[in-house]
Amino acid sequence: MDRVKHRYQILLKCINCLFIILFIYAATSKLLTFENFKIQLEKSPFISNYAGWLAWCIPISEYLISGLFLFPKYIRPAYYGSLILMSLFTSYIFFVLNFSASKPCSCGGIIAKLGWKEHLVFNLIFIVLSFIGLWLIHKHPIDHLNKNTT
Amino acid sequence: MKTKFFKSVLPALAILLAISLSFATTANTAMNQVGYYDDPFIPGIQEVPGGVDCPTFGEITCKYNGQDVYADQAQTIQLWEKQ
Repeated sequence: MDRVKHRYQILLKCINCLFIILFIYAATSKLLTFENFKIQLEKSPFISNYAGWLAWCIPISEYLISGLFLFPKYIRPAYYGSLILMSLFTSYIFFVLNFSASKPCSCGGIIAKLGWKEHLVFNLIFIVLSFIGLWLIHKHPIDHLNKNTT
Repeated sequence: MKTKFFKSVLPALAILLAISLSFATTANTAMNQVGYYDDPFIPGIQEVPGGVDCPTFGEITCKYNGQDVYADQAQTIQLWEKQ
């Protein structure tokens, strides 16, 4: 049984790392090309009025969520935060794909090279991963996991 | 040892990897940016050979063969000379 829990724990840590890589990579890329990112947001349908505010808000929330992943105590809020953020991005892509004529991409780094449909799939994979993470936490609460690790 | 690796070393490596990757890919993107221009004497939108190194903000428009250069084929994102 302990072996199974240990495997769950390793799986959870791997998912945590994937989210840390994704959010830190995306946020840093956005900040490195901040002006471009802001311009892209200004050209984006539905959200152009909030571009200035969103240009700061998105990378900061990504950094905050990746920070939460570093502390076992905040893993659950980190997963809920990731789920909310990824769901917002995915809903936005869905709306742009279905209800907008222009489709500019304001994503960071290499993610911007993805097409909108690939981007949708990419986001959906991370939404599934956050559900898996939440399920793992629910099945083996963090305190229980920590007791086994220390 | 294994626990220590998963608890602290792995997240630290993930952060390091993410930051290095973002710097590497952003630098790479900036160096190989594709630029498009519309020469009235040639049908269609033309691509600037060898790419351009023009940001999307500035004061003087980025030009090739006397034509304004854009970051996209739809010619919606204007490119500018580096300041």
